[in-house]
Amino acid sequence: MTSSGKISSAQLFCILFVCRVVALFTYMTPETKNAETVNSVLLSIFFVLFQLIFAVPVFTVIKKDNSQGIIGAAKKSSALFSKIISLIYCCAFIFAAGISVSRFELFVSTVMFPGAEISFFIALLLAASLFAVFRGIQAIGRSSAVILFAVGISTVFITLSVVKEFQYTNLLPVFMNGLAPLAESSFYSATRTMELISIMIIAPEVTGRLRSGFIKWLIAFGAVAAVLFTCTDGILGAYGAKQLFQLYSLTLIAKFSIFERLDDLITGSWVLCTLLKTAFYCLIAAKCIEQGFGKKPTKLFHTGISAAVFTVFLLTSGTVVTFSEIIGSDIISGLYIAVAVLIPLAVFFSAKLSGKKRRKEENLCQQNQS
Amino acid sequence: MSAKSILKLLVLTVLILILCACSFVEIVEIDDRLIITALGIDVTDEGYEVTVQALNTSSGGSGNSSSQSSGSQATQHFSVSGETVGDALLQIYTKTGFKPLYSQARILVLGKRAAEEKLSQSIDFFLREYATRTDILLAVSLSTAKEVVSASFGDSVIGAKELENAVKSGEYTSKSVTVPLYKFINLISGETDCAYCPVIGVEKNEFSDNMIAFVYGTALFYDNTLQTVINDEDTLGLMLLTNLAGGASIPVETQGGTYTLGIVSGKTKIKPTIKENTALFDITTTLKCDIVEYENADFSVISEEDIEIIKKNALEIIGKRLEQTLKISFYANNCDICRFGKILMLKDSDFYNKYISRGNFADKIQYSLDIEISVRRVGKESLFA
Repeated sequence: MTSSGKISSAQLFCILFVCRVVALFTYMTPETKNAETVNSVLLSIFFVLFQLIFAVPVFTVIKKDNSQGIIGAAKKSSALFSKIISLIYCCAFIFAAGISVSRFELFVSTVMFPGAEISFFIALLLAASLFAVFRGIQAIGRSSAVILFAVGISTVFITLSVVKEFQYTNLLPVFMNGLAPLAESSFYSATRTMELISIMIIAPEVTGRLRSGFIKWLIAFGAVAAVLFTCTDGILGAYGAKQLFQLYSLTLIAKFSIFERLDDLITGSWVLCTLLKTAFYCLIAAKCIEQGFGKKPTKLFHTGISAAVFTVFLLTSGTVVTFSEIIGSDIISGLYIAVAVLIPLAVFFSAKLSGKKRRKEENLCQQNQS
Repeated sequence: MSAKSILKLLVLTVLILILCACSFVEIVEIDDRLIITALGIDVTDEGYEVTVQALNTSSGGSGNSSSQSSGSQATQHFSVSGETVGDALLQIYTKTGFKPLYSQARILVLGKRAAEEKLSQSIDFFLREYATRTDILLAVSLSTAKEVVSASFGDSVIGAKELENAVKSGEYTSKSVTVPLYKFINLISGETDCAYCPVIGVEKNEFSDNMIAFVYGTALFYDNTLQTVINDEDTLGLMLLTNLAGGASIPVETQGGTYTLGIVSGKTKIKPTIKENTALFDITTTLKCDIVEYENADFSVISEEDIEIIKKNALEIIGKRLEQTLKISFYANNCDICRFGKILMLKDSDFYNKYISRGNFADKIQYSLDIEISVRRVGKESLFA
């Protein structure tokens, strides 16, 4: 935390780690058709590589001192352009928050309380996240460190308690079905990672180095994902591939001394992660409008964003099949490429062009004056 | 109280509720629950018969005509039928009026016919139903599952616990494999893998009117059906080969008397080598043992020479046992307990696809056994006189 109302880059990557980890925990097997036949370590490595590729255009629009994000960069070429972009990113984060809540709702209503109707519970979750949004980015940053600690401890504890069941014969050959499923699965995972995009919006609110922080974050997350998925594959084997939430199934067999059913320990921390992730995405959505239109969002506006997230949740939750079809569609991949690669590139080149134009005009003015 | 304070209190309440995730789901009182402790599945001509053992939570006992219970008994039993297991289990609600709770069920017993004819169909419900335990233990009864699950072990005894203890006794004796559901499904799903689980039975306790549970050997499954049952001795072989062996005792005869060799731990490593169209497996089993008893006439001490003789004889006994297990399971019944097929799949997928994946690949596999025994401790004193 800094006195200027900004958060440090360490705090930002704590938030982003929590956001990504909860997506990992509530990852559903039917989302991708080939993920269960792909080597987990290679999947993580390829995911990291894809993210690094997507990061190139993202970091071209962020100034080195973090004073300018993508909307700030777009403003240099056109005010209208920046407004359009801010609306696009606002919608993207509302959708991402809605999807995140839907995923959590499916997790709760499928494995924790099968068949339970928890829309009211989700509304309360959004109300709590709205409160966190009111407290601002600093409050979210501070709580992320605490939540990350709790999630980290519980994950390590559960992993250690099940690791004795690991059998390498449960794993699959490295390139069982060739490179195509590996590339497909890792591309799928990489194009559902909104954290990278959020950096472009939140950059002006952060102090410290973003580039090196992002690389560390990415490598740390890749390592965690590789370890967790390898453990799941090596312990559950084919059984895991038949389960909807593989990592949750792993927690079900965790035992330590007299303590059984340690799943409650980890699912408790997952609830906190979802709360933080929703709050962060809602805040980012509001920041988009703030940066694009230059007006500080009111509490009513924040409430409107939460209501929009709830609407997305209602439209996308339904059943696992509906959710998987929506989230697994190629349209989502295409939209991600648009907001993570194409728009930043467009902003970068338009800023360059307008800069050149401005310099030419300035030169012309100077020549006329002389 | 100001509006801000009320808001804070509200948010705090919400957070607590979220943490507990309570009040938004249906609450069923414990008295209205049928806490299932064991399940048995039998295949009949009409479909499935599921026998349920549940805790007797009602204070006055259940007077339901479909159950066998009395107020003083710790458990009660129900038998329900249906076209599928799920369909049969749904009948519990209508028969008893209680909502079944599967999460406390510790053991699932399959009748012989279910194991032979409809293995995957019988356990599919437990794979998909999230309310069941992932690590529920699996066992097979060579008669009916109903006989085992509905057996009475005493008024105040929870039968499921007795059955579970019988299965878990293998952790100390290596005569019974402990196989949770997820491991069983993992093995049965493999293209070449062999799944296994203990064979459980009940018999009358000679000292009382109650029954006792016992395990006699291991059932081996391949291609979704029960292939064969191996005895206690071969079960030890299986457990040594699959790194499941806990404790076991092996009597070793020598000229000086009979020693009881206690296996403390065993570890087996399997390394494949592929030569032309045959896979050679080096199986190395390392055992740590104690000498727990020396049966002779004069309580004499054990000399270093004795230890060497014991090791030599023990190697022979264990070697024969492992070979016998492999012969019966793999070569005679095509049950790949060592996961040779899976190891080859990881080692050389071309070889696997060419020779192994079609099944019946015993002729493509050769092995060599190497056993190492270290004697860790020989009694309290006077090791080497």
